[in-house]
Amino acid sequence: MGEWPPARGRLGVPRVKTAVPRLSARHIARPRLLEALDAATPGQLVLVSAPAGYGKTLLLAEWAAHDPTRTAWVALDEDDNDDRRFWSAVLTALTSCPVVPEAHDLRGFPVPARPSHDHEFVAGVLEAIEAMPAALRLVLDDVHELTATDPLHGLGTLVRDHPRGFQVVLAGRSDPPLPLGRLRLDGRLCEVRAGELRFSVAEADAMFAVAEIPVRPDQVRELVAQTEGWAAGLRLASLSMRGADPDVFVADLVANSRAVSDYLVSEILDRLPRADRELLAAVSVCDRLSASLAAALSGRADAGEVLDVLEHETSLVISSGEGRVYYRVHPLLRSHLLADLRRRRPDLVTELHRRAAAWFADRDQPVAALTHARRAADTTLVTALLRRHALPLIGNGRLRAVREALRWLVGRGHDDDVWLAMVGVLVDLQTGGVRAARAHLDRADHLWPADPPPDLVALRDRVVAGIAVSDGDLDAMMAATEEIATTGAADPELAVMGRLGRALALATAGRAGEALRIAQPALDQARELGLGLLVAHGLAVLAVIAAGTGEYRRMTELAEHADRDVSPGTEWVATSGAATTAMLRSFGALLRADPGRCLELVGKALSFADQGSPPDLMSATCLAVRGAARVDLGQRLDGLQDLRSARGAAAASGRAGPALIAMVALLEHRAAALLGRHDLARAVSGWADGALGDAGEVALLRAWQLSEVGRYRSAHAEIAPLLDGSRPLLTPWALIDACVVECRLALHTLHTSRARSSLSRALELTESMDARRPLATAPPDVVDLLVRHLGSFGALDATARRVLAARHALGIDHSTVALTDRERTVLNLLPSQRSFDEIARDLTVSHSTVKTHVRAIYSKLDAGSRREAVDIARRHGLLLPEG
Amino acid sequence: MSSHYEFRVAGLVSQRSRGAFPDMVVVDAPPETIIVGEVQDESHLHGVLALIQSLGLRVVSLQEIHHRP
Repeated sequence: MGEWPPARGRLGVPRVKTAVPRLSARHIARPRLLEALDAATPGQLVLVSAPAGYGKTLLLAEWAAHDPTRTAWVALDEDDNDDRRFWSAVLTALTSCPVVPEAHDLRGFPVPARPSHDHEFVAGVLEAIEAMPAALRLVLDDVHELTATDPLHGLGTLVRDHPRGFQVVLAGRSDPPLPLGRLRLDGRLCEVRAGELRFSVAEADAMFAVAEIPVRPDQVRELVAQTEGWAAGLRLASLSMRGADPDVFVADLVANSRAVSDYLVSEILDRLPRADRELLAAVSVCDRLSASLAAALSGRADAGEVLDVLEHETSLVISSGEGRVYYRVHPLLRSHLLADLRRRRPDLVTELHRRAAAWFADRDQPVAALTHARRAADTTLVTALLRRHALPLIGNGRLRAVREALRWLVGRGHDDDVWLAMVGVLVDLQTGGVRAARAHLDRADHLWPADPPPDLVALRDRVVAGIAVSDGDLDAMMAATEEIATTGAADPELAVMGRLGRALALATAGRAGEALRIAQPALDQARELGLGLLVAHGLAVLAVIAAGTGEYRRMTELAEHADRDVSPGTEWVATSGAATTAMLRSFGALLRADPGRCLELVGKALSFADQGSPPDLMSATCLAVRGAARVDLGQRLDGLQDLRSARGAAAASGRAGPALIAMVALLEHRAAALLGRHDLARAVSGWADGALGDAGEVALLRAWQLSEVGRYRSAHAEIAPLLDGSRPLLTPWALIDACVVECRLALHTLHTSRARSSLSRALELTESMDARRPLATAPPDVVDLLVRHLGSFGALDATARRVLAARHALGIDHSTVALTDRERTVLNLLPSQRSFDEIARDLTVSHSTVKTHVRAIYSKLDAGSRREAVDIARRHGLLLPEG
Repeated sequence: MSSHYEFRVAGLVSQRSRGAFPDMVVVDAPPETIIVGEVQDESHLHGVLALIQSLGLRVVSLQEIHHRP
């Protein structure tokens, strides 16, 4: 297999997001507020919190201008609710600080899939900041834009654990959800709020002077009183008063009981030339726009120049970006204009969105184009965009954009478009809506044309294969992917999906070599085409292949790689592929004897299943893994219940593949044996016998049973073909179990050297597969042998030590309670109201025999009474719960 | 879980701004303006507040109105 490229760095962040805003020549310096900010000690969080238009950004920009080399600036926006974008922006801002050395650690820092919850990542960032030669200041402007839990969690960590000398500055319209009360009490908060930000009469006076508007002191006082010192209000007032009589204006404002901003905006708009007003209204359908988009919207070739003039003369338009390529209309004005336009000219709003959609479509920005096309209610354009871009968008993991467009189209005259219906099924499958997918497929099939074009047939094959994968139906998977693998689909995305589906089918069928030959080039092609979601899927398929060949270390690496290196904007986390990688990673953790980590990961995989519907095969696998991990952690009752549900789900589906049955059987059998539940172990072994026929695992379980009852020779006869490879096992790690059983048999029959060599082989396999669990949970006699020979295994001594450490961590030797079958029978009767005499009669033994068993049970359970014994036995999973 | 809310904002609101609340009833109550309407859920509520704020209006009070039987 090829080498993986190193973890790619962070997402691209536009310069405009991390540039400190420039101050205009007319900026009013605010020394009193700078003083307040300078008074903040390095350990304090600085919070500038006030509604829009209070001059928060400009104040911080002025502050930064005094100390530009160590200020990192991030202008947050809605997109930063994507955790990876948020952290990419923060890291980009920090590293673009001039004081950060060229070769600093921070520069190469890659951003993982869920950075805010990745302790290693966050700790690494904080350490790198601490190691910085100069104290840094990080300004996060518009912090109210952060609403998603993940980035807010990350922000909380930054504020709580910030390194010494590192100052975090937050500015926003509302207080961020941080423990501000506590910080305030601890003296760890420096606040500048609306009260302080209000313009004083002197500051307002300076502002009017700079704007060259002649006003008398009493008029300034009146304006400050009316606007309550609101900076935007004063600025709007100064714009309105241009060329007007200040006396009349102020008198009018005071006499008018209208809301101040409302009044001022109307005043300003009324003063603008009609053509400019129309242009502003036209561009109000977009938040941030380039001159070219503005020209397309307004139909004026000189739109850029007009916006430039409006910026210079009125400050109603703000430009930003490299070479000032983006314009933004003052948000207050924009919301007024848009509301106005919607009311007066709804037709024009529609037309403007259509123009915006066309503009974005021409520039190959399908997501923005689809959004505007929907707002324009242009079904023709939406369908045209979907036809051209839906498959690449899916391949890139822009699932939401496609789903929203499809949902919007429902009932708009395209319900009989079979291709669109099929695309909908494809999206359902990606996001795990199997039931919805099946229903939608039925509908699409009703529309199926007599003479379907090849691209439609390819799409349907893909969808059918996807449903087969969700069902775990191997025959259907093989049948549905056969066609795709041989004939090339016209759409490159479908071709890649088809090959990956084929590879997955082959891997599930145990044909790893063939699977690999198809998966690897498909992955390369997905990389070449830049299809982020399919790259991640490809890695997940390779991980499944590795699981089948017992390369568990590689399986975990590949699954982690898929989760970590998802390209920007790809909605991987919500897809069935991410559930698969979570399942594989949890399985890897289970085999490494790390049940805690296993439980964490398996929860993610399980949460993906359809809630409320009976567990599917994917859930069956997850339940088996969770059950085993719970048993390892001592949560025996829950663990056994999970394992039983897994077996039930696998048996009920009627489609479970032999590999899944073998895995569930091995895990449940081991748990039952470990807890001394021989009855349960026999039941599991019987189920596997019936379901698997002549698979190696059946022989393994039988050998285990036989060795339990002392039939060592028969047990050896069962195990020998597994060890020499003449009878293949479906689950590679079961071979370690086979070695353990063989080692045990050899010990009982006093074949010391055979015991020793079996143990060595088990250790070798443990090392090569990175699977410590089978040995760590082995019977005590095998572990004793391991301990006795410790130091003589050469290179494998380290492995042996890790196995013993894992066994110790699992606490197995402290928690196993080995009861005899007879004791168990008596124990099972203890919860009943029956007296010992009655129990003796039930079992047709003497009273004193029962008493002997009961004493043995009490001492093994460390119980003082019948009642206590029952409680402890329940806790240990030795008794089934009532009912 | 939709319910009705009453938003009171300072000052009288112009016709232009009223256009921003097509689904709500806007009533003059000098020196304030009352905006009443159905709110779907918490997110919607915050959205309305943000809209009011982005129009530069100041919220004086906010109240959930219970339907009379």
